[in-house]
Amino acid sequence: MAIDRRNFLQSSILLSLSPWALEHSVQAGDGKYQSGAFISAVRRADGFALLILDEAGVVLREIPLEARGHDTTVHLERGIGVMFARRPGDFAVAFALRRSSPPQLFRTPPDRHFYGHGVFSEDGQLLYATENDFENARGMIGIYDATGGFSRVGEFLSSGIGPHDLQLLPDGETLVVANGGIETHPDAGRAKLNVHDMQPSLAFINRADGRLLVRHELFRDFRKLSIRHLDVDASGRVWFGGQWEGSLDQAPQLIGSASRDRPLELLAMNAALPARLKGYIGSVALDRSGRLLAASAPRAGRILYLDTEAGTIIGESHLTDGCGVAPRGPAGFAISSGTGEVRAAAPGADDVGLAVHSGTAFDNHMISVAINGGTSSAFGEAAESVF
Amino acid sequence: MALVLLITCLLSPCASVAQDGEARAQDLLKRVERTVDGHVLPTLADFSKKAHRLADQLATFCASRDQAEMAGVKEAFGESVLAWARAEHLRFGPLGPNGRSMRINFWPDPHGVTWRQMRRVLQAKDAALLDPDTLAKQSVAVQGLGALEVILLRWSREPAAKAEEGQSSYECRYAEAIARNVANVSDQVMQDWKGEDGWRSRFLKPGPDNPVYRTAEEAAAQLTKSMLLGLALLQDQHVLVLFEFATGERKRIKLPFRRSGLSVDYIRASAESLKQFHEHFRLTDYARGEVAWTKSWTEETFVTLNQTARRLKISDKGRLVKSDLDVDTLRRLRFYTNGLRQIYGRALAPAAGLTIGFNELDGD
Repeated sequence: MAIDRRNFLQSSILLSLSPWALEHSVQAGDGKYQSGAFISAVRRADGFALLILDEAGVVLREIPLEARGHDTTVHLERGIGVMFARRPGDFAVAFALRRSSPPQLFRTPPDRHFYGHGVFSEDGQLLYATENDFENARGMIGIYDATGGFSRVGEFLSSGIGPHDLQLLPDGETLVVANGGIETHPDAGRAKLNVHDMQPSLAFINRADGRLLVRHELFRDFRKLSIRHLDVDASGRVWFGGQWEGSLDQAPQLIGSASRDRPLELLAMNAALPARLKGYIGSVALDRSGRLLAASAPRAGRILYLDTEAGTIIGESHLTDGCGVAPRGPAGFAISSGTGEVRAAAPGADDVGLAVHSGTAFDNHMISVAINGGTSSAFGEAAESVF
Repeated sequence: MALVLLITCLLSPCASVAQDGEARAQDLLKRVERTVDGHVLPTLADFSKKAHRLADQLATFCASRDQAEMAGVKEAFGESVLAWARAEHLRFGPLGPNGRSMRINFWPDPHGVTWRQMRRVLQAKDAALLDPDTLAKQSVAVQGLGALEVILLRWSREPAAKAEEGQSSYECRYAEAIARNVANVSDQVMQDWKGEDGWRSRFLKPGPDNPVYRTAEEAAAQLTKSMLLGLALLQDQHVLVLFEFATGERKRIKLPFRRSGLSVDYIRASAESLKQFHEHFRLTDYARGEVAWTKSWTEETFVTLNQTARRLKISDKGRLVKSDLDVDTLRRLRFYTNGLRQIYGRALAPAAGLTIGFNELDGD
């Protein structure tokens, strides 16, 4: 398969023609979706896309994106999902989980952009997304009406700069926001404007009125640890992974936890570990028991598995550019990589390769939409849809 | 279809590794040494030399207040700025995530923080800031080349009598402190490259005990990322800014050192430096088999990029209007910088057996 100069020159033209109209669905062999599924943003041979994979890593459906996507949030009862653009993108795509109806594109206002993450309210009526008010260097939470075409119905402050991941606590009323502390501006691409003066925080916010309930900050020596990725267990304890913006030989531990009434605490682990992980945790996810945490370090090609009760590492996977982690089965994970691999992994067991998608690079995040190992309602009965 | 063929191949093993194992590691190590000694260190040393000359020129001027010395100050400032344009992509190791690059020049500055903070500093006239060591602990917006540009522009624009007053007092000494601070940072960078535990040693002696690079591949991958960063900076912070302004997509134009008439020279210096970087590193030697064509394409494109940058003509000073810009030239520059990024990152690096991860280049 030779590549010639003409191909490359033509590609520069084709790259600008996002095949939005080419949205298509790939059904499993029997024409029905299988139980359980994973969703991830990818770079494909012909552009960026959203992939829905079955539990074996087989592509069930592909939705082309105009640019690189990042994380996805779903509301299973309503059978809808939303994938957000990677920063500083301004688009998001809502899609029906159970059928291949046309996806719905919506955007931030011109003076905002997404940070790549969002979450539905418990009833699925509203969607909250981390956004950048870049002219005023303020982190915002944009609110979208998930029942009415995803029109933007409000916003409130994230109580920090550079909000990235956000999650809804089990009480259904409190949002937890990872304010990474890094200022960016679309005019400056992805350049970090304030590394010298970062103030990351974890903010707990009442979603009804945007009121800040509590904000936890790191000690001054650790202020260059950008808190970025979150998962929440059933008790409301928040686990996070960070990105160190200082010299590697001064990096603190990159994984920690907090809750509304408990301050940020970094796990006590080997002092050499942060440098070995190249100062970056790209994604975190709890397994279905809520006790095991997977934390990926794509720069180091390592995915750690931690027992959250003991605070210790109990296993790891080695996967080049491995970053996506999502619960799979009762006590394990699916992991994905920028080299197109999808594996099943669990501490204490060898990884099992599920699929290798040639020409595909999986983005940082993969989510699971299976529930309790059974058939997700999103893939079964008809659900309310906005499409 | 052409696109599918191209990118499928770029992402797949068809960008084959020409050599295996130890031989490839040794070859990569030679390239790393050649690049560190032939490009990285000379480029940083040149910047340090220019930064010291600027500090010395300002000291001479401020001591004599002889307006004849002002030309030397402006010339030294321009040389420092262009030396930084040639070094800016080397943001790893001693110039890595420790704020030093921002201390040398705080850019991008989309909110105009430099001008806002400099206005306050020049009004407050805090004597403590005249000490370079104290200044080093202040906001990065008031201690680098961008801050110095604000003072030099004030001197250029204000009436002569008032300007002389400024030059002879606080402003002059503050300008000197800024220049000395920048020179100090450049000294620290050079110092960190030296010695048994220095960054040159870390690059040239990868291994299990090396705290940063365990393999030759990791050291070579770092240099590749530096190339990709340089191309990204050139594209995103310069070429795209001009292109989008010319096509009406962008209303405001912000380029580093445009008010000093240096923004086009900055682009040229940056493009020249990246070409020189490539001439030492030459990952194109690994372009064989189905990606063999990328060798000549890359060599030619670095040349064309520089030729096109030399053709770029805009009015730096004063108000820039869209009609001043040649959209076609800018479109070409955008294509060349983007193409080189794609080829270097997705064809040449894999062909050399280097991992430049989709999820690791810039954490998200």
